[in-house]
Amino acid sequence: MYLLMLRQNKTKTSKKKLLIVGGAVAAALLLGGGIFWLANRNDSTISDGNDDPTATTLDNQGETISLDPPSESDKQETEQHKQDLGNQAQNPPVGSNAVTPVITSASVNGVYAYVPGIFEEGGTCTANFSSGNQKFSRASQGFQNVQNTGCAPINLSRSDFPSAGTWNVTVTYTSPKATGTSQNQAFEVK
Amino acid sequence: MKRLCFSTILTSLVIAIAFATISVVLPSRANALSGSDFNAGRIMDDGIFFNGNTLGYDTIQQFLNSKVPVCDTNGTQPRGGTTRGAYGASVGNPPPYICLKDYTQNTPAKAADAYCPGGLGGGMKSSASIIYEVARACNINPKVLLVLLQKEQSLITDDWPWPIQYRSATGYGCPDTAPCDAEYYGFFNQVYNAARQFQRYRVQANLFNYRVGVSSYVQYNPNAGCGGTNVYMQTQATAALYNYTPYQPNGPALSNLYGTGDGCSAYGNRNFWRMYNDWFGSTYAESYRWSTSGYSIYNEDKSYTVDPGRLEPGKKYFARISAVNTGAAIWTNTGYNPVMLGAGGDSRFCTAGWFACNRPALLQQASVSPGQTGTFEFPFYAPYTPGEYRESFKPVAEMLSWFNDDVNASFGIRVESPGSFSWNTTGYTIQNVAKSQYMDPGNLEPGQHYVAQISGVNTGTATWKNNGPIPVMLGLARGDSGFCVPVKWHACNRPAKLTQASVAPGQTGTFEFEFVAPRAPGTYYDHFSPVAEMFSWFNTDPDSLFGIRVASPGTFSWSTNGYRIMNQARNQDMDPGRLQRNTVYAVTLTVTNTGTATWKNNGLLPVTLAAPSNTSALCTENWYARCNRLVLLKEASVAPGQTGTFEFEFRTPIALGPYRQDFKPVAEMFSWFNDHPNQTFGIWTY
Repeated sequence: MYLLMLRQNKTKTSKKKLLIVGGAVAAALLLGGGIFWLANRNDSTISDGNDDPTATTLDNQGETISLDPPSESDKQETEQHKQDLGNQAQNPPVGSNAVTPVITSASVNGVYAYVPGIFEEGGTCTANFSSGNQKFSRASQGFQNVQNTGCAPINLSRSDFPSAGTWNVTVTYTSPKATGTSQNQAFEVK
Repeated sequence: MKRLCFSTILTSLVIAIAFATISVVLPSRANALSGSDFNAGRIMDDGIFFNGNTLGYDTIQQFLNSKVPVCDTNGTQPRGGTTRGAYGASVGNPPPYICLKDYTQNTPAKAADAYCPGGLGGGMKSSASIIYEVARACNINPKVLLVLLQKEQSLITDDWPWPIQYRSATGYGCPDTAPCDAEYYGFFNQVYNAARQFQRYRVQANLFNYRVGVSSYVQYNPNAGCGGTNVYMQTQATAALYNYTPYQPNGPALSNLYGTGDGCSAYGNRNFWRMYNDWFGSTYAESYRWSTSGYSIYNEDKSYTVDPGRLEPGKKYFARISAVNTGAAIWTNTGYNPVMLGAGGDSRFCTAGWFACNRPALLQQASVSPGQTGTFEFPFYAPYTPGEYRESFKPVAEMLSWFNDDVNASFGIRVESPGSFSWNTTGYTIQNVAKSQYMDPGNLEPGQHYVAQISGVNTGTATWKNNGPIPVMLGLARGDSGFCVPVKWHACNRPAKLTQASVAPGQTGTFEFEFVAPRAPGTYYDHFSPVAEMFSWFNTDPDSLFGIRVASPGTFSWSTNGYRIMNQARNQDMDPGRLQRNTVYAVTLTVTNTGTATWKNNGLLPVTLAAPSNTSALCTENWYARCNRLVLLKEASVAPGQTGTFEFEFRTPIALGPYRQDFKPVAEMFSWFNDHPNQTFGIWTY
């Protein structure tokens, strides 16, 4: 009888513990879910596209391609671009007669430059070299390059320079539609 | 203590499960892109940029569909207190709006040139088709073109695009601060010229500002006052991107990779790099990667291409596969790690000319840089059994690494059945070897050579040919033929190949061959039948039995009155009993044909005078053959009852004394003549 009571007490205690543990697991799941919700409640508006894609396919070489719908940043950039286009429609760009060529490299071997803000053939790029009182210039044709006007390379050699030292160069662009001069660029001639 | 312990365990359990839950449901950020990953001198590797084979048409369409789940065709979505349609109309762009995934356009044809060697056909095409075809024609990664369309006009994700966005889709001919050039308007024009220009930057690299291996100044913004830095161009692709859009992102633009920077920021190349990473993965290539558009199959002398789905059984072909280097390493065909085309195991197509049965070919070019195209070429024979055959080959840098798989790398062919081979013979004829006289097959001479001609109608569906991998020959299915003339036949079970080069179904073909009649009189048969070599025997036609009868030439017998011996000059008769030692004398033997066969001194049964003992001590160098055949019959033909002669010389022995030997005629290869009392030749020397 005593043993039976002991067993009944033990059984009641076990059931109680089981209930407590079960409740604790449920609470833990709710807690974790709650933390996740709090941490990500704004995700629908701040997705930056960095997440690993969830919808994918493979290319011809087995590389993964994302087939996810556009991210929020994609949508925002698309809308911003649409806004820019709307603004341009109301205030179309007219271009400018004043341009500023950009020298991308200058050395004893020559000068590379382009002219932003204009897209045309037939203009002239003139590189003006100076060092003290010594000056000379070389010209090349401008040509269309996608979103600007490229200057055909002006190739030089050491013999083109009368002396060693620091030389300066600017590039001037002239055409019926535009004209302008670049910033000065210095380089060493040995 | 017990309660405390339980509480502690319970608390720990709750925390553990909570963290486990969080870690399971939170997405991984391990691959998050950061502005610090941007390398201004290496935006993209050449192997990725110059690879037109990455996407199929369907995949491009699938990609476009995914980025615009629903197109707002009528502009009904709200925008700024009104609708998109109303706003668009207010700025000159009323609905309906056609999204890129649905866009179609009539396109002009473009001839192949140095930049887009593929050329393009014209016609009505979808946007996906335009991107796919331009990418392949100009060998620019279609992923690059997709990102370019997004970077310039947001066309990939725009669900209500305006016509102006298609008109200048890639920004080609659109300077930063001026209107776009109308000459380059239009979606196709924009995509084609952009891709072509990317190749132009590579082909005419020295013409442009940014060149691989050179450090050049790149501004942060069109406003020169914003500054810039010199950037060393590590790849041609990077140089091309700067030549297209000559700005690099500044610090603020990179710090806020998915937003805006400051007034000196420009976003073109940053967005290109970011979008490519997000949609397609890294812009950096692994060392050894490739892509291909598949195989071309050529005829044996490589003078024209053939349809891989219609190969002839047993025929030799060449396969050629172009391989774009989409990796970062330079391929070479020499040194420690030559690049070869390889197979996982031995190939069934293996043949002479392969390096091994799992190495069909070595890279043809000495060197192939990233973005360039190399080729592999190997011979193979189409199997004789019709059907489809498929194997996968891919390059391997020997002793180093296998390349990636490619969906187009599967080598597949289909061998067509040549049709059925059957015939219905129309019989055979026999002529003499000179083909000047038809002979009676039932009365041929023993050992004589003849020419047989067997004809038959092509009753099958295959065209018979006398060359190529399946030549049609006359054959003998079992064993060698007794009619064989080895120097004339292809083999003693293959008398002849088809006379005609080609015999179509319903036409008649012939087989012609020389044969020798057996020497023994009798009747002989062979059952010849055509065979399509290496493929199948023809049907057995009962009428194709080739039969001849060899008639007996008759009996060979003789009589003679004996030998007449003269001096060598044949102007003085000599006494056989008083001949000098070691001296040459002349002999005439007159003989009479007492048999039924006509003697001849030519042909297959020439009649000669012979020594039955097989040798003779009287032999001179003038004897007909060795020392057992003295001389041929003098007359060309001696009919029964006629007289013939044998004339020969002999040399007396050195030893003194009598000498006797029998000589008698023989029908060569047929029979000896009868013995005759006067056949004994006797002399005495002193």
